[in-house]
Amino acid sequence: MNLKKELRLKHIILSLLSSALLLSFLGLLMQVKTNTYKTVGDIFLNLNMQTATANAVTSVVTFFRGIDTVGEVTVLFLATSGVALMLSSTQRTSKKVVKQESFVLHVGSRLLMSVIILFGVYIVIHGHLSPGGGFQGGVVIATAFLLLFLANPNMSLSHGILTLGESLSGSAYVLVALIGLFKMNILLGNFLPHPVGEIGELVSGGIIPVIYILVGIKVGSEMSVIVEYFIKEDYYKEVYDA
Amino acid sequence: MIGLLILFTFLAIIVVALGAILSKDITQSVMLFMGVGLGSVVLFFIFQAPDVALTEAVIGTGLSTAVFLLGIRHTSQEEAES
Repeated sequence: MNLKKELRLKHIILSLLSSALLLSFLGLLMQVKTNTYKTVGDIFLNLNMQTATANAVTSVVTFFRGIDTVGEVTVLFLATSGVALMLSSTQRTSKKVVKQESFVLHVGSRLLMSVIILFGVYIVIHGHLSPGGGFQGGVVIATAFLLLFLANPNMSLSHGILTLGESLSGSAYVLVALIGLFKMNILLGNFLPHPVGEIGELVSGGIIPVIYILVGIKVGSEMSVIVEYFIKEDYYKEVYDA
Repeated sequence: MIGLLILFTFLAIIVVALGAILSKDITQSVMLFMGVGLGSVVLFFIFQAPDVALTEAVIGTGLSTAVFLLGIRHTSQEEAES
């Protein structure tokens, strides 16, 4: 009885707090139109013409705050290493289950997978023109592999190619950053030609599309490995039980 | 009009989040949590942040739900064994 009363009090306090927060947030929302703030966003928008990318967010992510992206990629690499260390402890010596999936599942998953991968590559390549970029496109590519694994647990990725692609793209990213440091005296300096007149074209913006393609390969392979580990753990456990 | 849509999305997110907390079934809870991500995708898009909306749609709604469900499947197996 006492516990129940305490829970109810907690609920009331929580709901009061959240409604107060909502009201204050709504009050902030009402003022958005009337005030014209001079914020850091305006400064970046004014500077955006230097980088000659149509998408201002991309120029912030890969150029003005490019060092943050390097850190982000490092964090993702550490997370993948942790997952691999935790979930790959059981040796994969068990024999594979020969359970054939149905024809509709087989064809449908492969059809959908090709469309999803195409969409992911589109997001990666058009990162400097439209919303999206290397990270989002890479994860879209990984969801294609997730679909494939769900449809057919017998298949496995070749870890050699994935690890090679991931490490090569990561090293190339750091290399591009260092070349910028030596040529332009700033880390991630835009050393390729990027005329402002070409803004909005597919090949424009200097090194920014290059960086996004490298990040896309890295994120795509890392996320695919994570998804595979999560599914295969399950799968091999079922094999052991059977 | 757009303010009404924003308000409706806020209320929907709150309702879905409460449902995710109070739900007894953990799979249902994960599905409702996906609804929270879906609502925030709409909000990000209304507030003119399509980049963040795309990230949230891919990560919060797609991949994290799949990882959650796989984790639930795995841990419930272990619980059933012990």
